[in-house]
Amino acid sequence: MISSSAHPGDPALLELNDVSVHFGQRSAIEDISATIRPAEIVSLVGQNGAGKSTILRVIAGILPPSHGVARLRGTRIGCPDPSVVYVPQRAGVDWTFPVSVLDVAMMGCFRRQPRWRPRGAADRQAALHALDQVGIAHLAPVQIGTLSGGQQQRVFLARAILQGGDLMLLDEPFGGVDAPTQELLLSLFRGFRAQGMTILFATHDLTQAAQISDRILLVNRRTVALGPPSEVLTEENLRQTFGGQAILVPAHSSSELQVATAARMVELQDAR
Amino acid sequence: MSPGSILDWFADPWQRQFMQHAFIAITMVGVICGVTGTFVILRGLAFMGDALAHAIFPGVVIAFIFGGNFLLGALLAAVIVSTIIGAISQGGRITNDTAIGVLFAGAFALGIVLISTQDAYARDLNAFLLGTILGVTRDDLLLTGLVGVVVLATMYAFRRELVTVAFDRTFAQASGLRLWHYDQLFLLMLSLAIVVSLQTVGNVLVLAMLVTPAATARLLTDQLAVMTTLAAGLGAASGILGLYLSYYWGYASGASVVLVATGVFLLVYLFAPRAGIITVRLRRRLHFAHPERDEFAPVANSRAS
Repeated sequence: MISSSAHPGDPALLELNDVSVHFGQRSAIEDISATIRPAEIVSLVGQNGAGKSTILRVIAGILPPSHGVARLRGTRIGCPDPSVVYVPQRAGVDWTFPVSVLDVAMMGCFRRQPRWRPRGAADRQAALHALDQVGIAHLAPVQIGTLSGGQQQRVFLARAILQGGDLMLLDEPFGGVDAPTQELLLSLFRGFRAQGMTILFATHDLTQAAQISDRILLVNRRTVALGPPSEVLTEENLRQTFGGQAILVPAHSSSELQVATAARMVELQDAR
Repeated sequence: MSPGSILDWFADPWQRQFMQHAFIAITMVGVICGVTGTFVILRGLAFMGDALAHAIFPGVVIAFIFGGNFLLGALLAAVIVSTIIGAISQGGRITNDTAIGVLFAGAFALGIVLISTQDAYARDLNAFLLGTILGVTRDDLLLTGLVGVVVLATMYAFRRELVTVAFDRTFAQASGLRLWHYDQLFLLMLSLAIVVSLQTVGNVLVLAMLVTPAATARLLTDQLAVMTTLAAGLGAASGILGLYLSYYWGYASGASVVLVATGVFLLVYLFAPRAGIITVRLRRRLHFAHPERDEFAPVANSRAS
């Protein structure tokens, strides 16, 4: 499952060095360290409140770390970098807002051009093409309030495609979307990786994480493990990631079984 | 009434110069407030709008006492207050609406204390609270027009940034837009809109000019550009109609304007083609009886395929 492009010798695209973020007295993440290479798919797995969004926001350059350093291509991240595309959680947006699907996609044009240049037919075409790539070109004129969860995620993806960039950060892209959209996300991720793009996505669902990731970063406010799914998805790691209520996994089971069990464990956690 | 007399009814107020001025003023205010008000309701800033309207009071009073420019005084007060509100709520311990509440009342009280030192205390306070639309001068009109052009041009020039910041703040921030800059820019435009409305509708009712036409427009369309235009048109139309009512029946002018706008909102709330609560009921009944005649049948929106 490990991509051929993710050799240990590759130069680092992204480096987190003992990154901590504190909000007042409360610490959101503690001493997170990780190195991410070009053209790999990495999933950021942890419970709600484990600091996944915080890590993504630090990398996006919109949340300065309290301690430690985050570097993109060797340069300290201080502000948003044009090569980083951020896809926020769907829930953070008011979906009754009076804009159309095309309007939202076109927001992806922001950094590509000077603001005084009027948007022309070329931008519309680019936006329509991006919508087509995610299979919702026919919804372009529709007001966003009528979209399903999967369609909302696709609009965000179209906007991200239009932005262009070589590191895409996605916060819970698989959350609450239908199976066809999950399939689309997986195939888009593979396509992006083939073009040399790096994908880092947050999820609390091990099923997708294990299915597509070159490497998984398990977090529980601290780094639990970082590595290929077959190596990091051990009982001990999962117990540390998801807390005490671990379900025993037979010692010699295949990693697939481990994943299935772990996924079930997460469901149980959510149900509690 | 003969056709001639209806025309007379409409034309008569225009014979008087103070009414001409009032009509022009309220039209400009309706348009300016409609456009800025659209963003006020989309961002849920109604309370902030009300707070700014009250918070600029001490600025106006100080300008009045020292004979300075009241617009400048009001703007200065608005910028100071909105900055303090932003700074206090950044701390995290006190929420934004609490900070607004504290500053809003405090600034207003300061204004009242200052104006109570003046001789014509009651008259001045009244003029400020309810507006003096019938005393609008040619210079006032010029100033309102100038400020209006600045506000509308700025909002138009930065419309994409303002829309993006209003819709998806995290994305806007990650795209390199400085939220603080655009928030302050919008609050500045909002303050300008409020300041030029004070004379026409007064401090207590300016919120209605911001919120009501925009809310009505929101019920009528799902497109932001249409909504903004409609809000501007509805604001101006309510203003003109309200002035007629005030002229013929002697009602307070600012209040008449607001009542017309509120009446239009209620009508639309009940009977809007898509969103009106009575329309929706009727349509549901019609839909079950005659599905083929339903003009507004829900559009088949193929779920993610």
